[in-house]
Parts: sequence; C-alpha cells; structure tokens
Amino acid sequence: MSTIGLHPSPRGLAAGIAASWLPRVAAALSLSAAIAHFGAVPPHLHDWWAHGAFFVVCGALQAAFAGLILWRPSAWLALTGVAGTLAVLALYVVSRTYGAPLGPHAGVPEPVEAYDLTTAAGEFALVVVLVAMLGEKARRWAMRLVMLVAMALWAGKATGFLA
Amino acid sequence: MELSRRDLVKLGILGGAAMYLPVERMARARDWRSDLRTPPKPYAYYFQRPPEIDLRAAANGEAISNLRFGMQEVSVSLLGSSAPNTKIWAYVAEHPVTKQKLINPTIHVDKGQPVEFVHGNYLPPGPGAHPFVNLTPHADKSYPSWTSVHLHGSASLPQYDGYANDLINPGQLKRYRYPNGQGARTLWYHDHGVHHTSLNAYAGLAAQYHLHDDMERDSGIPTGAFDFPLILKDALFARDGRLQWDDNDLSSFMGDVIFVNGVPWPLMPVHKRKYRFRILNASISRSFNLSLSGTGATMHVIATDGGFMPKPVKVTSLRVGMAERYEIVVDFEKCADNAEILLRSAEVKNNVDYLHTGKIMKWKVQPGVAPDKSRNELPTQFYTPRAPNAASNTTVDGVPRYMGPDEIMGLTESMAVRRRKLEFKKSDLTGEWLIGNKTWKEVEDSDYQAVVADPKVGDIEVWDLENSSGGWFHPVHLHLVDFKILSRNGRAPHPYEQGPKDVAYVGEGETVRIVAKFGPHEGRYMIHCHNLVHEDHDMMTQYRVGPQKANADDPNDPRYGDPAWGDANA
Repeated sequence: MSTIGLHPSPRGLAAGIAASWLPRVAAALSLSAAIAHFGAVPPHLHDWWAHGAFFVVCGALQAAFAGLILWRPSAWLALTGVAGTLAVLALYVVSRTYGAPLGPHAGVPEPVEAYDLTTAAGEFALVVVLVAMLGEKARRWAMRLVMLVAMALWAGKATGFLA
Repeated sequence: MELSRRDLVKLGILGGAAMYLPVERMARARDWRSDLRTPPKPYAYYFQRPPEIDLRAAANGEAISNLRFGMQEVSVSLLGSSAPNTKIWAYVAEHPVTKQKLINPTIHVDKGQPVEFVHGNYLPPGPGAHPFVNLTPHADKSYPSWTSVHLHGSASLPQYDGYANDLINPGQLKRYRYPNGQGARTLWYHDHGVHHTSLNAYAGLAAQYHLHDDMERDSGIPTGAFDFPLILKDALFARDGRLQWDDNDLSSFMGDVIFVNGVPWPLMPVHKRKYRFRILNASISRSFNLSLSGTGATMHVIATDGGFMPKPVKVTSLRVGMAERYEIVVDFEKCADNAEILLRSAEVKNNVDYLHTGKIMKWKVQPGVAPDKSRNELPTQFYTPRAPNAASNTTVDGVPRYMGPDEIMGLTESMAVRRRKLEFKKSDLTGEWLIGNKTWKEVEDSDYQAVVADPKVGDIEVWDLENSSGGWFHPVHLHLVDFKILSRNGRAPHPYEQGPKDVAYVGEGETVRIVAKFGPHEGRYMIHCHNLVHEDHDMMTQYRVGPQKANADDPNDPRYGDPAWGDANA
C-alpha cells in the first residue's frame, strides 16, 4: 500500500481537516459545478448526443464527489477530486481555445460566456480547496498534477496549438 | 493546511491558464470571429477582375447564344499563398474560344441577344455536403445539394427564373433561356434553391452578368478595361481554411473577412482618370455604407439595379443592402501622385462589426498622366423620364415589349390602378420570418397557387413594403419587374436610389412605397427578403401576373414549364 498522504494525519489530510469547514466548501463548489454541467446538457445534446452524455456523466460525478467529500473526506478522495477537476478544467480551456476534440464541431473553439467562465472559476477554487485539505506528502503529488496540467496548457498556447 | 508560497505560485500558473487563455481568446473574438492563425491583412493582396466570357462576339465575329455551366466544388486560394486552400462551390464554364475553365465568370451580352444556358449540378450530393464548418446544426442536414439558378435582374419567363422549387438535383441538368430584352444593367446569377439559398450562395454560387446597350455605348462612360465588377461578400474561416457558417439562430450571418471579387481587402493600382465600378453586395446578411477616404477622388452613382439613373448623382456615402447593385464612377483625375484612396464602410444598424469590417479596398493612384483616357466621360444626363408607353411591359403578338429605364422612372403614383401593402416581420410565436403573415410553406401547401398579389399584365400598382420591427432590415426583392421607389416613410428616397430598382432596402421601422408596371410575362414570380437566412426560413412568397392557371395547363409553370432532366454526367 502506498504511503502517500499518511502524515501528519492518519488519513493523509492536514491536521484536523476532517472536522474543518474545508470539506464543506469543497462539497459546495463541486455541487455547484455539477449543477452548472447539468444545466449545459440540453444545448450540447442538441449538438451531438455524446457531448450531452459527457455533461451528464461529468455532473453526476461532481455531485457524487460533493457527497463523498462531506461524508468521508480522505486524501485519496481529495487527490482524485484534484485530478478529475484538473481534467475538466483542461478540457474547458481546450474547448474554448482549440475546440472540442471530437464531434461535429471538432476543432472549432466554442464561445466564452459568463456562465462557463464562472463555472471554471469555481472549479479552480475547488482545486485550491482540495489541495489545501491535503497533508504534506499528498499535496506534493497534487501539486505535480497541477503543474503538469498548467504547463501543458501554457505550452499549447506557446506553440499555437491553442488559439 | 496553509498553502506555501511555492504552492500558491503553482496554483497561480494553473489559474492563469484556466482563466486567462479563454478570456484572452474572447477578447480577440471581438476583433476576429474566424479561427485563422494568421488572418489576412487589409490591402496586402492585389485586386482581381473576375474571369469573363463575352458572348457578344466570339473570334469569328458572331455572337454566341449558348453556354454550358457545371456547378462544382473547387479548391481555391482565398487567403493568400501561405494559408490553406478553401473549398467552395462555383459555376464553372468553359470559355467558348480559349476553352479555359473559368470559375464564376462575368457574362457579357448585348440587349436583344437572347441566350440559352445549361446548368449541370455536379456538386457532392449530400445531404449536408456544403464545404464548410457548420456551427448551426439545424442547417442543411436534411436536403440534398439541390440548386436553382436565378438571373437576378432579368425579366425571364417563370420556368427560367430560378423558382425556388424548380430544382436541379445532384446529377441533373436544366436549361435557362434569357431574353436580354431590357436596358443595360448589372445583373447577377446566383442560387435560389429552396431552404438552401443562403448556404449555396455562401458556398460560392454567385457571379455577375452584364447587359450592354447603345445608351451605354453612346454615353462615353468607362467601359471595357475601365469597367470593373466589385462583388462584396463577407466570410468566416476555420483554422484549416474552411469556410465557417453560423446563422445566429436563424437571424443573420456576419463574417469578419470582407472580400472584393474573391480577394480580401484588395489593393488596386489606378491611373488619374475615371473608372466605373459595378458594386454588388453578394453578402448573406451584411449591408454596407460605403464612402471614400482620401483627397481628390469623387464618386458618382450612375446606375441602380435596373440600369441607368436619369442623371449621375454625386454622393459622399452610399448604403448597399444585400443583392443591391449600384454602378459608380470614381474619378481619380485630381488625386496626387501615389495618393491612397480607401473605400470604407461605416456602421449600419444591425450589422455585427469586427476589426476590419469597416474597410473594403484601397486604390493607389499611379504617378503621372493616365496613359489611356478613352471612355473617360461622365454625362450630365442619361435620359429624361417619360410616361410609359401603353404597350410597354406587355406581350404583343407573342413578342414581349420591355420597359426602358426612362419609362420606369416616368412612373408616378397617380398612374396606379391598385394599391397593396406587404408587411415583413418575424413571428413571435414560431420565430419564422413572414411576409403578410405567410411563409413559403403556405405557397408549397397550395400546390404553388397561393399568391399575395395578382396584377394583370400592364397594370401599374403602388405597393407599400412595411417593416415595423426595429430589429432587422429587409432588402426586399421582387422578381420579374423593375420598380421606382416613391418614398421612405413618406419622405423622398435617397438621391442615389432614384433609378430603376429590383431590391428595396426596407430599414428598421420603415415603409417603402414603390410603383411598378407588371409584365411583360404572365405567371408566378417570387418576392422575398434578400437576407438569405430570412429567405430560407421562410420570408418568401409569390405574386402572379395575369389569370390563374392550373399547373398542368400553364406552359410557363415555374416548376413544370421546362424542368431539370436526366444525367449531368452523360
């Protein structure tokens, strides 16, 4: 069994985190992201069924995560949340600067609107809160993921892959 | 639980990427809607004259009366040699003498020289075959690549008028006969296929057609080498060079690259003399408000959609709605050596503007005296308007008598035997575009018999074209006839539109009063908005000249009079 995140708290979270307000904030942010994704299902379903399905799955996972992080906060769960939210954030940036990778409008950037920008800001805040929940060792892993995604996005911009 | 400074920096790098990159792109999208890595620069490419086929006299001195066209998908360079090619749809014809294949050629004919064209549809059959990135998923999914060719400005018989449902399906051919009996004018041929017109025209199916006559030749105005089409059109592009289509929820298409004769914002060297430019707004939904910038050049409007105005009108600005044609003479004689004169477009209500949509093209005046000053005149008058002859725009002993521009401009309100009103609006319930609360579907459901007007041949009528909305302008086109604009909201029309017209720009909250003499042919002809998105959804209706006839009894039935046939590949 891996030992990541076992210190300083037994569950890999920063000391006293389970009882603190951070899981509640994370749950609220994840739930609001889920609601936002559910709200975006109809127009995406109109474009292509798979786009609509993606938003349904994404919203369902974020809603489930909100419940889990409240019920049983753990380092593994928080790390999973960081990884998943980073993936959603990266896909958002790609969809607005390169276009959806698949589907009828593949390669055509989608318009940026207040709705999706606010949702992305909430997801970024979720990453920050989840990282803050982690103990030292787990946080190191999380920050590696954060840097990996951030550098990939900036590299995409620098090379012109992302408009 | 506290984040270290290093963690905050790393999260900042992520946050910057997640927020800045989309916002930065959104900010740029106000300037450019296209996704091109390197958008074209204004005035970086030379002006081009579209290819021409002059049917007036071939090599042996005899006029040519027939021509075969293929509607085809072709790959062309629209954005410069460093950018990817763009697939378009075009009318491709073989030059009768040189045998060269020409894309969207300008056709030249003389008044009184009837011609017969055969158009073959060689387009990818579809459905959904248009060569662009379609951002409006509802568009073009369910129809094959059908077409219908309309010679806009020609008083053709109904079966040769490009009736929207007189379709040429992929693989079929259709004959078109054009009498060319009207006076000199700038016409254009473009697609009119039902529910597909906007997509087909945007894909490239549009070109000019010039009808010449003695009035033009005798006037001394610039012709030949000093007479140029200016086909204005806006477009959007995807990163790979493909055209993009977005009709913004069935309202309008607004591009960010302005083309003149297929060149973005061209640069044209000119000499110190007069030039004639035949402006055609071939855009789907964008209108222009043109003016010159620079010292020394002047602009006169000499002709409108239906031919010459009574006299040239000097203008400082000129609004050109979709499908309108204005012939202008620009005089560069008093310009300084190397002067740069810009053709610009000012803001027009309900256009969407991007970084360079206010620019059209640039003329660079060559130093010294013009080497050729032939055909360099601007007459003070072309004709005096007169009351139309009783036989004008009627058919006598089977011979149609066309109206001259002097007779069209001699029409007055008091000559009218009837008045009608047509209202152009959007349905609040269905979102459909309506004419007189009706759509083209009602024409289809009536087996193409329903009409909104039924003048007799030779009747003079006054029509009010009303647009009560503030949200849209509607360039309204009547097929078959030329008309005179009497007033706009009770006031005199703009000086530059006081010539024979077949499109009336009905602006927001405007009522435009027109007068026309209907004929010379009997039959059913379309009326529609030339915002082609509106036309397709479903701002189109028809009127009938002469008595009602059952489709089977009408030799000039618009669908069965001379339908498409057979196998274009045979």
